[in-house]
Amino acid sequence: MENINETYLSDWLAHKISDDQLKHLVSEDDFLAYQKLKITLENYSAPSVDMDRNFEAVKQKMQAKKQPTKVISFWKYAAVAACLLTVFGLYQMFYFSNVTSTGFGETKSVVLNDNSHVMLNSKSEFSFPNLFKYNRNLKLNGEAFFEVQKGSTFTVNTALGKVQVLGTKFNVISYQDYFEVFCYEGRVRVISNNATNILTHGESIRFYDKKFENWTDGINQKPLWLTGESSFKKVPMKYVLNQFQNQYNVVVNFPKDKENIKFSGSFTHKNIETALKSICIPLNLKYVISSKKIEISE
Amino acid sequence: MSKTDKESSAQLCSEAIFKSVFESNFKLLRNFLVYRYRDLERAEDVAQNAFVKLWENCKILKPEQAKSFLFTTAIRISLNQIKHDKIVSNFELESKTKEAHLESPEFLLEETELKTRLEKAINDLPEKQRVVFLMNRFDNQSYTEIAELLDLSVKAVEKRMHLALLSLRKVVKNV
Repeated sequence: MENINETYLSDWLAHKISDDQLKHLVSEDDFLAYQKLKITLENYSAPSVDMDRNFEAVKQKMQAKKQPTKVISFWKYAAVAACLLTVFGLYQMFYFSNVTSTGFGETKSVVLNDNSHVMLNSKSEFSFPNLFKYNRNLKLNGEAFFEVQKGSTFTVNTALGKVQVLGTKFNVISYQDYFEVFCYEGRVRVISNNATNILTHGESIRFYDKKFENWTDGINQKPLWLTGESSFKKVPMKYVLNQFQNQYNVVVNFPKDKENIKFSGSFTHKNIETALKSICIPLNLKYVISSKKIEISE
Repeated sequence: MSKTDKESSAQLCSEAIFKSVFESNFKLLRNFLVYRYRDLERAEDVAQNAFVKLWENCKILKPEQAKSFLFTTAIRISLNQIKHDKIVSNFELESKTKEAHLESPEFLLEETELKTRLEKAINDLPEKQRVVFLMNRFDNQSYTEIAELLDLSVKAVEKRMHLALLSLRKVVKNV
C-alpha cells in the first residue's frame, strides 16, 4: 500500500520532481494516467463568475445591513417631529394665534367665540387663542373696550399688568409705559407690579411713570372713543398726543416742557381742526398744520 | 495605533479600494467555497457575506489583511451554517476553451466520458482534498498560499494533493 507520508504526486504537480523521477516511482500505466489527468484538468476550470452581478449583490447586502439603523433613526425623527407638531398644535389651540390690529384712525369690533365683544381703538393690536372658550386669555397692546360674557376667568395681558374679570364691561389702555383700566360694569381685578386692585362700576386706575392713580367717574356706560371722541381726565399731555397721533396719523411737535401738563377734556376723531382746538384752546397754545405735521407752540 | 496605520486601514473604506480588493479576491474566495460546498449559489452567497463583513470592518483592517480576513470569515460563516452537504448539486467543470475540436468523434466521445467521470470523481473526493486540489489546479494557488489561506501546514496541503491525485487516477482507463 501507499506510504501515508508520501507526497511524490504533489511534488510532481508542483514541478519539484520531474516526469522521469515520477516514472521511477510509478508504473508506466499510472504515469500515463497522471499525465492525462493533469492535461485534462488544464482544459477545465471552475464555473465562471459574474463579477459585476456579485459586486452589485454585495452592495445591496451592505445597504440592507444599514437599513435597520436607518429605520430606527427615521422613527426617532418621526417621533421628535410628532412631538413638535403636537406641542405646536397645542400652542396653536391654546395660545395667541388670532391677531387683530387697527391702523391710524381706525377702530374695529370683534366678537369672540364666547360671545364677548372687543372694540379696538386705533393703532392697537390684540391676539387671542383658537380655543378661546376654554382659555380666555388675550394680549393687548393699545386701547380696547371689553364687554365680557360671564364664564371662566377672562384675562387681558398687557405690557404693564393684567386685568382679570368674570363678566363685565371695561376699557383697557395699554402702551409700553402707560396702563389704564376703566370699569364700566361688574368687577375687574387689575394686577400690576405685584399689586392687585379691584375695580367696581365707575372706578378706574392708571399706571404711568411709576405713578399710580385711581378715581371714580360713574357717568358713562361706555368709553367716549366708541362714539368718535377721545376723552381724558388728568392725563399727561404726551399720552393725549399719542392718542391724537394714533387717530389722525400725523406727527405732532409739542413743547417738551409742556409734555407732563395734565389734560382733562376730549377731542373728536372726525375733524382734525376741531380736535386741535379742543386741545390747544384750554391750554392757551397755538398750532400750525402742514401736511402730515403739526407744530404746537405757546 | 500609529498615524500611518490609521491611514492605511482607512483606505479599505474608500469605495475604489474596496472594489479593487473585490476584483482581486472575489473569484478565488468564491471558487474555494464552490469546491467546498459543490453548490454555486450557496458559495456566492457566503462569499458576498464575507465581503459585507470586510466592509463593516474596513476601519480596522488594512487592504493587505483583506484576503486572509475574507477566508477566515467565509470559513467561520460556513461553520455557523447548518451542514447542508446532503442537498448539494453536483460539481460541474467548465471548459476553458471553446475551440472547435478537430479530433475524431471517437476521441471526442472519450473526452466527454472522461469529463463526466472526472466530475463524479471530484465530487466523491473528501472535501479537504477536493478544496486543496482544485485551488491548486484551477486557481493557480501554490501549496504555501493554500496553506496560509486555509491555516494548514504546507505538508498537509501536499499530502492532500497527493491523495487527491491518487484517487482521481481511477478515472483514467488505460487502453
